[in-house]
Amino acid sequence: MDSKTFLAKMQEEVLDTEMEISMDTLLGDIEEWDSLSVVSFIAMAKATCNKAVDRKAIASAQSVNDLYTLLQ
Amino acid sequence: MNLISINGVSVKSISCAVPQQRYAIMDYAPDLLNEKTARRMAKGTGFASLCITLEEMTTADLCAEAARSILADEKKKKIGALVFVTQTPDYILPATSHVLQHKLGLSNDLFCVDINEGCSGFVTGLYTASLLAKQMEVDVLLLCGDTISKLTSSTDRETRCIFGNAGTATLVTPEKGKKLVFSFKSYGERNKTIVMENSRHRKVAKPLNDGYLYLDGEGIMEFALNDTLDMIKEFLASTSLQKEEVTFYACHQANRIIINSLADSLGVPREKMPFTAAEIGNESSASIPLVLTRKQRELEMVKTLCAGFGVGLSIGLALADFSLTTFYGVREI
Repeated sequence: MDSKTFLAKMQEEVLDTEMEISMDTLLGDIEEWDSLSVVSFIAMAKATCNKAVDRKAIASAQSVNDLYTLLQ
Repeated sequence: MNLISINGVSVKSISCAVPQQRYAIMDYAPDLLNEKTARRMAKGTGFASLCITLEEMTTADLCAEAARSILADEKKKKIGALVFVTQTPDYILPATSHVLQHKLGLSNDLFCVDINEGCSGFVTGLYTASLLAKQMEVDVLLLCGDTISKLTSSTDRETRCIFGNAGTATLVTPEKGKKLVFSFKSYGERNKTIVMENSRHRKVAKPLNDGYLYLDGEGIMEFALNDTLDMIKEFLASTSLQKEEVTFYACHQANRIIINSLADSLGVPREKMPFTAAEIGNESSASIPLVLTRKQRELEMVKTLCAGFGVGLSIGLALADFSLTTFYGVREI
């Protein structure tokens, strides 16, 4: 998945946020980055990339780009 | 994997009951949600409203009401067994199935059993009822339901805004030429994923969620998209079924993200794996009979795969033909 598609999916599906996010945005600055979003991210990773993302790795991610790295 | 075929039994009828009290999640948990967070929660989980009983109504009451529709059309004396699947029985003892035998006016010549199971409970119950129907050569009344809302903490958004209440009744009968196929898995190493610690005899000093129902949402999602998905694929391969041949995937309605993600990951249209619980909530073992009831006019039922997965952790799969099953609908009581 290219980064543009990833950002769009994060914005609309995973986070469902009005905040404009970029790859550098820190997850801690996104109000909607909560348990619901984590679960949505796990689902998105599986459905789009067939990747079972480790929850510890998600917890260690600091930025949107860190999450993108988990899908590679 | 285990794969068990039971020949000569079928599901004759299914009836459901939900409480008439229906709350938008923001109204049910006003201290936990505002308009924005409620909208987001409903969009994610899929649950916009929950059906909640009044305090004095129990799961047994809901199941008894559901059963009355079936019993009005059937000969009670043909029923030789009653299976009550719930995690919210009336009592620790006696088994509530005995109470229901009396309440429903069934014969004293009855085998009664309570089964403590939740998400996978309909499939576990259907398997048990099928074995009984075949061995005893009797009709079996399977009652499945829960009032999980009574186990949740009013301060825990993750559980408070998810669970609704419901009771269902299913009649399983001996019938030549019919068949049900089952498979089960247990993942006890992950039993703390959905748990109420200190709820009975096993005690810990600091119970999760202060002893209220505890849910590890991420753990459940991983379980659904990895273990459950893999088991469904293995089941299809073992029964020589292509995924496209299954006419209806009747899944436990854990939440919308899980159902949609399962469908996408398996590669089946979402319409074939529907989410219908938006206005009632996660109904535990009642959720599969409810989704069958809600979609029986829209989807072919001849090759239905029932998938119950969750608390245990456990998975129960059943392949069944519901095309000739009588559906009594969903009563609101």
